[in-house]
This record gives sequence, structure tokens and C-alpha cells, in this order.
Amino acid sequence: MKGFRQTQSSVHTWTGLLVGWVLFLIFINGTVAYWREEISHWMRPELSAADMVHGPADETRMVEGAINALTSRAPNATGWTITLPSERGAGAQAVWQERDDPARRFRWPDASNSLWIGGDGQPLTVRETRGGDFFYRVHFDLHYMPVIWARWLVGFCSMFMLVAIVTGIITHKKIFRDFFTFRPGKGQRSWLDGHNATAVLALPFHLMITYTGLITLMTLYMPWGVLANFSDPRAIFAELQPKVPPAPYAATPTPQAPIGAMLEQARQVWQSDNQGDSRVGMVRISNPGDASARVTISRHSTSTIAADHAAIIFDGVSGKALNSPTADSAGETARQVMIGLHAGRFAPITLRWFYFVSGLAGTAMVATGLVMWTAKRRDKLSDPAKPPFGFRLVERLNIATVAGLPAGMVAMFWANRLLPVGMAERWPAEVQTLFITWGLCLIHACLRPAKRAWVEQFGLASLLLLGLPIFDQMRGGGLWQHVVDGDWIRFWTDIVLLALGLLMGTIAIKVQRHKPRVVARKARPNREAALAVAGE
Amino acid sequence: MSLLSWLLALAGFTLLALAMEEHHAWLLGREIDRARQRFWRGKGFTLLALSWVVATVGHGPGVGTVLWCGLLTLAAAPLLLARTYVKPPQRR
Repeated sequence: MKGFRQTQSSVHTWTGLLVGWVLFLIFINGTVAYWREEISHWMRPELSAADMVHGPADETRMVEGAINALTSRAPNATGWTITLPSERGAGAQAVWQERDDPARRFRWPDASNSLWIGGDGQPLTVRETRGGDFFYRVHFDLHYMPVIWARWLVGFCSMFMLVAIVTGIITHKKIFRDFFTFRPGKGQRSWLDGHNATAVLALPFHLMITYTGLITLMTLYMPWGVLANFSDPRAIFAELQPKVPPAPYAATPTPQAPIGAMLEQARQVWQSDNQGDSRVGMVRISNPGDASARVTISRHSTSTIAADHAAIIFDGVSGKALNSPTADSAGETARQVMIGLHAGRFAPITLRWFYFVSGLAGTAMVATGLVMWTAKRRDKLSDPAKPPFGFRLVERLNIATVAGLPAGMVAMFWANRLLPVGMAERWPAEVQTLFITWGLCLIHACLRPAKRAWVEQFGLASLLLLGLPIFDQMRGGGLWQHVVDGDWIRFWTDIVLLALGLLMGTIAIKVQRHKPRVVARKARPNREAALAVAGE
Repeated sequence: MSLLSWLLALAGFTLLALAMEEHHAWLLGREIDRARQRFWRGKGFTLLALSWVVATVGHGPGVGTVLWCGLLTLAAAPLLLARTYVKPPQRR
């Protein structure tokens, strides 16, 4: 009979392999999404440092400008949503829903239902892009499939991830004995060391991110708690919102109260509770211009770990507040802390870097785990020239995922720069560039010898990354220009792109120079080897 | 505060590494006895705890703890790289 640890090892290997490719996609996109707003800013070069919010006056000017623009552009909308930039972005985005849209279906902001407001309160022409929001969404909604299916699939994979983490800790009994240990150039041993190091060094992060990731969608995965108390599962979210009497559409155009006073009142309420800053995050106006207009002003969400529901609702005609913000219940606060920990929206810049680095470690952990599956079996192949189908399948999928997906993601950055600014259906084209490039990488991985495919795809990702800041520089909007403008968000984005390009290039060169070990030497026990090195 | 917390974590991990037979032998070229091992290990964990205290004093218990977890990763990683790529001091 197999021992406990041996069975855990099998569970770890096969659960990891089964969902590894999806987990890689989730991890790498989620990690990139920690720079969601920075990427969005980078992808909208029409916005500049002058369109940033520096104080309450900027907020008021941009909201007023947005309302003016919306009044002429979409006077009959059922709702307007104005999102102000955080300190990590620029420009206010105003989105509306047409009243006579029969389908009433949700659509991402594009040129036909949104506009941008600059720092001076005037509308700006900005290229249509999903920006960093795409990476955030794709890490749990995937793409080209209904979001509910995607979320179930992602939840399934996350559950396996949790299983893989726990069984991994049990399997690698030596993870704590091998702490601080990495032995490069030793084939399978090195992969295991690398897998352990990336796993153990950021273990609190991996456990937290997987668990809280499941919690963010818990009402989808485990709805019974909600169903026991609410007949309609959506009712619980209505319950969590501030309660004010409903206002049906009156179809009576009525002059509206000035927004400036409402913003000021909201700031004062938030200032008095001493929970971080009192910046305005979002303004929603339902039935704008009508006698039934309601203005919901939400607080900027970066104040505390738990994103609270500190929204204040005003009567749009009288300008009177209809509610005062209430404290969340303990249960809701716990849920919000979990979501806050996962998304890191509260994180100041140092902590955001930690999140990013930990996320990269997680991505590397999944990648090394996938590669290890083949590394372990390659030595045991009876005929290395003709490996069995299963081995080849895993090997090719590994290449296309670990090297091809990053290349595809960078291709989207290129599409953002190269597609015409006024193009119709522009953001879908950007996103398709990612998936087309990724698909080509899969075909390429199947056609080329494995080692060549690794080198060429990592090389492609590297060249694409290194090329971006250089391309921008040649077009006059590069690193130097960011320094002149004082736009440090774009400056550091360019630096990170260059650094990641160098990293990818280094990996490509390492793989190129790699010579597989012919004879597996029997390794000496660690301590003796260490003593020998130390010259005893 | 973050820097101080990181330095304490780095020192703590260094002691923990020195309390491990393999790394002790690598750096100091001699074997470690039980009593000393326990001593270094205790000091190492004390420093890690201190690092947490500093982080929470600087950033509050919530954010401080999250920050501290990230700091632990960034304190252990350089030790791992040093252990791998730095040559141990030559001894006679």
C-alpha cells in the first residue's frame, strides 16, 4: 500500500497538471492586473498628467464637465455613470445607457456609449481600449464564453489549486529543510527547487490569493446560504446597498440641483468618519434630467482594505441627501476584507509591488510545475526521439501557454499602439490580436522541435516587450517625454516593460544554451556537499 | 518603517538559515551543535516577530500584516539567491 505522502504526491501531480494551463492564465493575468489602472493610463496616450485629479476642485470640475457633455450627448439615458481617476490614472470616463435600447444588455464602454472628460472639464477624443481592465476581467471571466461558465471553470481550477497547495506542502516534506536552497544546472532537481522556492517564499500570498479568490465568487459557487434567506439570489446585493425609497421614471423634465454642493456634502460626511481619504470615486445619476433623478456618490475605494458601501444618495432635483452611510455588518465586512485582500485596491505603491512580485512568483510556480511534469518523464522515456502522444501534448501545451501567452499579451499592447485611433470595434480588435497571436504560438509549438519552439516564443515575447518603449520613443511619446511631462506612471510602465523584456530574453538565451545532462550523477547528500564546497 | 521591518526580517531569516545544518556548514565551514541551533532559531523567530511589530506600528494591524507577508518574501529571496550564486568564504 502506498504511503500517505506518496498518495498526496500523486494528487499534487495530477490535479496540478489538469488545471495548470488555466491556472497559468489566471495567475499571469491577475498579476498584470495589479497594474490595471497604470496599464489603462499607458494605453490611452491621449490623456496626460494635466487630466489627473489633484484635489476636490479637479473632481468637481470634471464631474460638472461630464454632466454638461452627457446632457447634450445622451439626454434621454436611463443612467449616467461618471468614474473619476484614482491617483494612478487620468481622465474621467462617462458612460450612459440609452433608454430606448430594447435589449438593455450590458456592454463594455466603447465609442457609442461613453466619452472621456479631461482635467479642464472638456470632452476629449481618446482611443477605444479596454486597457488594464481586460487583464482583470479575463483572469476570472476568461473570454469568448459566457461569464457564468467561465467563472465556474475558474472556480473549479482554483479549488484544485487549493488542493495542489495543501498536497504540495505535505508532499515536499523537505520544503522547510530546503529553505534558501536552489541548485541550478541539475536537471529535474533544479526544477523542483525552483518550484519549491517560488511556492514557499510567497506561500502566504499563494494561500491567501487562492482562498480569497474563491471567496469573491462564493455566492455563485455556494448559493445555499443566500437561498435560505432570499428567494431571488440577487436580492442580497440589493440588501447590501443603501436603502432609499424607489423613484419610478416620471417623464417630466425638471431642472436639476447643482452637483457641486452634493459632492461637497458627501466629502464632509466621509471626512468625519476618519477612515482614510474622502475622495469621490464614482457618480451615478439615474433618470438624469427627470423629476425622479437620483444621484449616487460613491467613495473612492482605496481608503481601507475592506471596500465599504459608503455611498450617499441624493435627490437630483432638491439636492437633499436621502440616506446617511451605514456601517456594514460584521459578515459583510469580513467578505469585503477578503475581496480587498485579493484585489489589493487599497494597496499603496510599496505593497502593490509586493503583490506584483508575489504574483510573478505564483506564475513562475505554476510554470515550473508544468515544466517539471515533462522534465521528470523525459529521462525515463524509452525512445526519446519518439515520445508518446501524452508527453508531446503536455510539452506543446506547456510551450504555447508558458511562452506563447505572454507573447500574445504583449501583442495586445502593440495592437493598442498600431490600430487606427478612430477605428470602429477597436477594443475587440485589440483583444483578438492577443488570442490570434496566442493561437499562432500554439500552431508554432506543434510544428517546431520543442527546444526551438521555447527559444523562439520567449524570444518573440522579449523582442515585443523591448520594442514597445523604443517604438514609443521613436514616435515622440517615449521615456524621455514622460520625464519631461512628469508622467511617472507611464515612465515606470515603460521601465517594467523593458525589464520584463530583458527577463524573457534571458530565459530564451538560457534555454538556447542549455545542454541536457547525459548521465544522471548520483548526488551526494546536501550537507556533505556543502562541507566539501566550504573546503573542509 | 517598511525598510526597518525588512531589515529585521532579513536578519531574522539569516539567523534561521544559520541555524540549519546545511547552510551553517556552507557559510561557516563547520557543523552546528544542537544547543546553538536552538539558540539561533529562537533569535531568528524573535527578529521575524519584531519585524511584524514594526510593520504594524508603521501601517496599522491590517495593512501592516499584509505588508509584512510581502516583506517576508522579499527578505528570504535575496538569501536564497546569495546562497546559490555567492561563493562561500574560502577557509584554510
